[in-house]
Amino acid sequence: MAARSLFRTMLREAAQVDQYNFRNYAIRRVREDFRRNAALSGSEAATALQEGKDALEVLRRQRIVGQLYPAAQSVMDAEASRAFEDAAESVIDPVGGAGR
Amino acid sequence: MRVASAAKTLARAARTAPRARPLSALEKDTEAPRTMEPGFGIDAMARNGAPAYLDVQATSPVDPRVLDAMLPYFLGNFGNAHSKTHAFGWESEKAVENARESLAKLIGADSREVVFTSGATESNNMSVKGIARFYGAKKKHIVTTQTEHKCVLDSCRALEREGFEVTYLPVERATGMVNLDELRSAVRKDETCLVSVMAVNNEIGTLQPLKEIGQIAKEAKAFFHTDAAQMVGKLPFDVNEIGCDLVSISGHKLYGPKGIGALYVRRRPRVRLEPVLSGGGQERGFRSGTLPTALCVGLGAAADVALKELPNDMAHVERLSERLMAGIREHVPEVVLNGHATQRHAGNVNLSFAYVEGESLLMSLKNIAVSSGSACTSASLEPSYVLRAIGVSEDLAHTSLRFGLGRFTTEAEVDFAIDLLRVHVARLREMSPLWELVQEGVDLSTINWTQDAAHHHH
Repeated sequence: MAARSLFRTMLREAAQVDQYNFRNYAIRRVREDFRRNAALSGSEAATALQEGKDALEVLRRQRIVGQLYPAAQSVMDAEASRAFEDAAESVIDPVGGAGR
Repeated sequence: MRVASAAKTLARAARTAPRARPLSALEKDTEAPRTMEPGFGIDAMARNGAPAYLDVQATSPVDPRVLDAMLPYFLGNFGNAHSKTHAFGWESEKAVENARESLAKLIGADSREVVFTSGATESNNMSVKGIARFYGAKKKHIVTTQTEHKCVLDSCRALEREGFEVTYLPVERATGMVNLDELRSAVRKDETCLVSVMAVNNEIGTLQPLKEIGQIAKEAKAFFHTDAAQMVGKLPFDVNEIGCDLVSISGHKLYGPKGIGALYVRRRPRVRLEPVLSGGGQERGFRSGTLPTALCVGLGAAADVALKELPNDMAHVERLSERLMAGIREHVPEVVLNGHATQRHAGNVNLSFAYVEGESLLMSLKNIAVSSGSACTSASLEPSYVLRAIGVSEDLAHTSLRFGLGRFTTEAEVDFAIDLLRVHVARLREMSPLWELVQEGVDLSTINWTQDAAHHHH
């Protein structure tokens, strides 16, 4: 189904956006729009689909521009990777680790 | 009285607690070892990475959709929008006019009523000086408020030197709202040429009763100008519903580029201005100078996106604002919200943290980008004139922080901010002798701080 595949492509594109705030915004808005437009049919659905395709082009271009000029990593991303490392370590060493 | 014990506690605290030094002093002696006590080192508590941006009142990031629309006009489409003899010019002119159309649509205006400027500062200068100088032969009085942006206040000062009389209306305590009765008695029929009141205050977020102000101005046959830089694109705004004659708009406050803004100038009934910038007569003579095509396109795209995203943006910002307030209420005691409780822009949250030294708090919140007021005055340690105008006491004004929430702010950032505030406000209060006194049940307002009453000076 065209809408479903567009949704997946857009989400994948959004997840690759470099800048923390733009990435999270894109993911949130893609989800919201597809949820809201899920019930549409006929010409309304076709219009929404075309809008989605245009938005994908913008998203793709701006994802590339963002990667060409990378900004300093947000503390929020640093936080997330830290939390991920902590979680990973606790999986490896469920007791907590003497060194920490 | 507990003065003696209070003084003793203070003296003891002054000996033991590390004093906060001004930022410049800290930067100068980076070589010197830090002498902060263990557990008080804020560097160890800060995380790596660019701070979470919570200062959208100062400026907003450029929306990627806006940059996408602008880029072609930095590349092949470089023409001068005023060149009439070739396709480069025509293309640029078309792009500029489309942008004008988009902005007009956002505020319910006709595109012929939109004049591009360099930003809201220029728009405010044009309105205040332009109206006064055009109608000044007969009308030499202007009404504004004490909480306006510096560029309106300074333009008024300039006019005072030209012989105009300006009434700077006080605003209501705590809320920062204009008192309509006071406004009614301040305007003078056939004497007042302009009433200038900002829509949403840039420091406290208070939303003024624009419709009512417009009505009062109209009855006095004065023009109504509103600086809506903090409102347009964030809250619904319609020039005809409000009944305003002039509106200042800023590009970089609505996710557009810096260096571009606009002024709405009503056509019916006609509003005339003495231009500030003279020259080639662009923008119907209101504002000479070649239009920056790419920036105009950016402002137009920002308006398109704002119009489309307004319901979503508003719901998102309100959700974040409630989350921030709830989190602080739960985790940080003795915090005061400055400005109106409900008549406000939800994305502007100005809070005072009692018994905390403001600059120390700002320094320990390195991981979030917030400000103690407006960016224009953030270099000075003086408390903000807006907070003073709404009657915030000196000590609370010194501890105020403005949190700006917008389209790109995330829930995680808000939670992060709450967490930092919980830790650092508690830590700084732990060092504060005042906080210690308050915990002991002393009412600080009853204390006479001078040890020898005979020596007190004014």
